[in-house]
This record gives sequence, structure tokens and C-alpha cells, in this order.
Amino acid sequence: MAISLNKGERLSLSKEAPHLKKVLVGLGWDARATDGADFDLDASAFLLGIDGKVRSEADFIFYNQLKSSCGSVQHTGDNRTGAGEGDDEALMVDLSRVPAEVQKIAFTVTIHEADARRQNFGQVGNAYIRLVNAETNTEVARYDLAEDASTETAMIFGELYRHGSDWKFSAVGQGYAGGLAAMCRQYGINI
Amino acid sequence: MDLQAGQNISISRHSPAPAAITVALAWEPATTALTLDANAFALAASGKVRGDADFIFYNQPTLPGGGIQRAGDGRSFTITFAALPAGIEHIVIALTIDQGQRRGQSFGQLTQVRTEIRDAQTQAVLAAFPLATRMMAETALIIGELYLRNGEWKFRAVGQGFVGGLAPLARQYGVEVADDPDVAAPAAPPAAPPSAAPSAKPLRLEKITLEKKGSSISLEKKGAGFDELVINLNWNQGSAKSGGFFGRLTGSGRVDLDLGCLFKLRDGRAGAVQALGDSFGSLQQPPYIQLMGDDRSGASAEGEFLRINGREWAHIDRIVVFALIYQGAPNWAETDAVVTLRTPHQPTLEIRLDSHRNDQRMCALAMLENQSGNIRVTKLVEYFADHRVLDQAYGFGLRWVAGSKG
Repeated sequence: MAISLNKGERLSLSKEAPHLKKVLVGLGWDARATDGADFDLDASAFLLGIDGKVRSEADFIFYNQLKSSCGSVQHTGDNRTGAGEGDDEALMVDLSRVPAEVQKIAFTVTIHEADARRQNFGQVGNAYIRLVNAETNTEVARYDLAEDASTETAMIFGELYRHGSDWKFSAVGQGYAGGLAAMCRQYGINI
Repeated sequence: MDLQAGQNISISRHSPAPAAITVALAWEPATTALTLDANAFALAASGKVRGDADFIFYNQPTLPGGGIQRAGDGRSFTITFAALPAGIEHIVIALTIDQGQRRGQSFGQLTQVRTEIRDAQTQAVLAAFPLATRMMAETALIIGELYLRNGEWKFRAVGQGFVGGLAPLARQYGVEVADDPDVAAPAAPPAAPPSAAPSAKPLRLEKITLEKKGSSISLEKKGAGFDELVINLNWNQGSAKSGGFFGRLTGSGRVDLDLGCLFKLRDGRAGAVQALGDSFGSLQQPPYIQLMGDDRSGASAEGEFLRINGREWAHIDRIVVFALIYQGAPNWAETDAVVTLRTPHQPTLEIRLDSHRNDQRMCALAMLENQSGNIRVTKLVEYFADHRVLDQAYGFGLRWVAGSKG
């Protein structure tokens, strides 16, 4: 059964998914039914070294750079409105192909132009981010963005990190202001 | 605590957990040219209404089965959680501008819409949602949503809406809308075939405000005739500040209005239905008009009601509905009084008491006339010193003696 996160919770899922190999991180939300600027949520991934920073901008996978240079992380593409069923954006990670120097992969979700559009996660219908073990197609963890982080505009969903020869997932659920730019700075990318 | 758009709070986890809450809406400036209507949508888990009866608005002020009551002044809802029908998991509260788009109005003409969630019993404010509305082009605004999550009721402040007004708002929640009050009335629609399931009939959003003295409208008899007609008089009964304990004791600061009518039947009989002299009338016997109690306590937020048995409309010739200030100095302007006339399958009629005359104690509100079986409603809003003068003006020919309330 998937673990439903609350704000600030950290969960180590070594029992739930001890031999993760292929991971899907899915982001979904409802298209805006009311009038006004669309809600455009973006899922991103950062490949991080032991210092918690990216090695270069190539380690930042987002809507303008859909694939890591190593090919281990693939973004399925930008959805700008949330239209459609199921996950609206997804990142597929093949852990066997992640370079050895990468200790950790952080997954984030941000609202595009949140400040200009005066939007936050609480205003978006049914926004979530979830982690799926792609080999078994089982949902491992889910964060309901509108409930516990309603006024936030940027969120670290969770981190996959090396543990010996295994990978583990830590569910972070930490919200921030400042959008994607703030996330980039935190991981060592100058914007 | 003040909420921002997007923020949510738990109602159930509040201590003590309220059994019922009031969601009260107010706006600034308080005096505005906009005609604002509060609406509620009771939704199933699917996010849609189960049927059109789950839309609570001026033509339908309560949820069948209970749990949601729209106040007569149209500015608040009382939600009793335990009384809600099973399967209702969301209650959306919205505010709309009547014919806003057609009149070139929007929420941008207000500076703020303020919502308070109160414990219905203690009136303690659990949360407030002040929403700045300047620049908003919307004419329908979703204020917020009460929703059930993991067994607890929560409220989320929303503050989003529709430029197109009530019709797109209602459709969003699955309400079938027959007429869009915000677009010009279409040419006479073809006669609808008799429908087996009345609930399948699209809901009428129409509300007609009789703006000017002498303006009138005819409610046409359809099929078996009219059902029950309900005439409601509602007025500003004074806030706790101006009324209050001592205000009530000294009789100052509050105006008490009485609703009544003069009637004439087809057989020539005439009379009055009013609290004075305990002439409350009857629905089943002539005059087929009944006054529902007299509420001098002001405890009812709904004001006063006159009911007319529409099935007996054929026996009625005409009715003049009036309001009376029984005690205290007449101050009509302060009452901010509104008369609504509701009858099933007909648009709601609304008449505001305007062109105030504070030297007079009575106001003739509306004339209801039987014209070939139809009900012709005319706005009067004419002020008179007493019953005798009013009677003379409309020619009922009654004899008047001084009376008092029992």
C-alpha cells in the first residue's frame, strides 16, 4: 500500500521497495475549470553528488532538458495545463544507469510563474506527486499537494539515494517559496 | 485566523468541534449597485451534484434531506454536518452577481469579499477569508469549499470564479441550467413535452427584480395550476452591536416589521390576514392565505412569511401585500427590506423597499391580481399612515377598528 505523506514527513522505504530498479515519478493535477491563468505544474529532477550539488547543468532534468546526458533519467515532456487523465508529467529513472558519482536524485514540483499568477498548490485541483516502482507498477508513496502544503509554490517531493548497493527513497515533503529558480540555486545551479 | 486563497483548515479538529457552522459573506463597499447572490452546491465524491436539488440558491433555499439552509437575507448558510444526506462530501459556497455580465459589472467593483466560518451555536469565528477583489473580471466567485477528508470536515479558501457568471458555475458542478440570466432571453421556447421525472427538468436560474413602481409581471398558470406561493419579507434586523441585549430591552436600534395582506375573493368577501387581531388566515379554508406566525423576537433570520394556496387561486380576486412598522419610529431605509415571491417552476420575484417615507407606518408592497387564472404581480411600494388610508387607496372597502397584537 502506498504511503501517503504529510508535510515534513520523511520515510525510508527500504522495506517497501528494497530492490528498486526502475522508478516512475508521476505528477498530476486537474486542468483549471475556472477562468484565469492555467495552472502549469512542472516536475523536475536533480542528479546530485556527495556534496548535495549538481555536477553541471546537465544534471538538471526539466521541461527544457528532457534527458540526462547519461540517459538514466527521462522526462516525458511538459504538460502546461494538467489536461488529460492520470499522470500529467512523469520522470522515468533507470537506476542501473545512474553514474556512480551521483549519490542522490531529488524530485521537485514547482508552479510555473506562481508569483506572477498569484497561484499556490492549494488552488490547484487534485494536485499530487507519486513514486511508482515501474517494474511492479505499484505506487510506493504519494504526496497530495493541495492538503498539507497548500500555500506553497515549490516542493521537494523526495529523494532517491544510494544505500550500499541498493537505492532507497526518502519522502521529504518540504515546501518552499520562490519556485524553480530557488530550487536550482539550492542544488548549485546559477540562474 | 485569516486564510489565503488555497489554504485549508480543519473544522472537525477545532475544539470544541462544531456540530453546525455558519458561512457568512460580507463585502466592501457594503452599499453597491451589484445585486449579489450566495449559492451553495452539495456535491458527491465525484465533485458533481446528485441532482439539481443539490443546488441551493434563491429559488431553492434548503437542501432536501437537510443539512444546508440558506438564510433569508441570502448572505449566509448554516451547515449541520450530522444532518447532511449520506454521500455529500463537498459543499461549495459561491457568490454571484445577478446579470453581472449583461450589466457590465464584475467583482472588480468591490474591494473585498470577506467570508467568516462561525460556530453556528456560539457564533465564534473559526476562520475568516478576506479576498481582495479589485481587478477581478469574474461575475461568479467560488468562495470556498467544505469537504470531507479522512472523516473530518475541512474548509478550503478558493477565490476563483467565472467571468460568465452563475450559468458556467452551475454547469461546473453538474447542474443542468435551463436559462442563463446573463444572456438575453431567447425567443419563446417550444412547449416542453410533459416530463415523467420532474427532477429531469432543467433548473430555472431566473430571478426577476421588479425595479420600478408600477412594473408588473404575470405568472402564467401551467397545467394543474399553481402550487404553494410563498411571500417572504426579510429585513435587516440589526447586528449585535446596534441591537444587543440593552438595545432589545430599550427597544431602540431595531425595527420590527409585520407582514400582512388585504384580500378580496371572487365571491366578494374581503378581509385582512395579519398578526393584528390574530387574523392569521387559513390555507385550506377561505381566504386560502396564511400568515406563518409573528416573530417579534427577531430570532428568525428568515423574516416573515405569507403562504397562499395556489391550487385555490381561482377563488382569489386580488391581494395587496403590506408591511407595517408596529412599534418604534418608522425608519424604512434602515430596514433594507426585501420581498420575495416564490412558487415552484416559476422565476423568483424580488421587490426591494425603496423610495422610503419615514413619516408613514405602512407600506403597500405588491398587488397580486387574478387575471384569467394567471397571477399578475405589480410592485407598489406606496406608503400610508394606516390601514384605513391604504384600504381606501386600493378600494377593498373594509371597516377598520383599532386592534392590537395578542
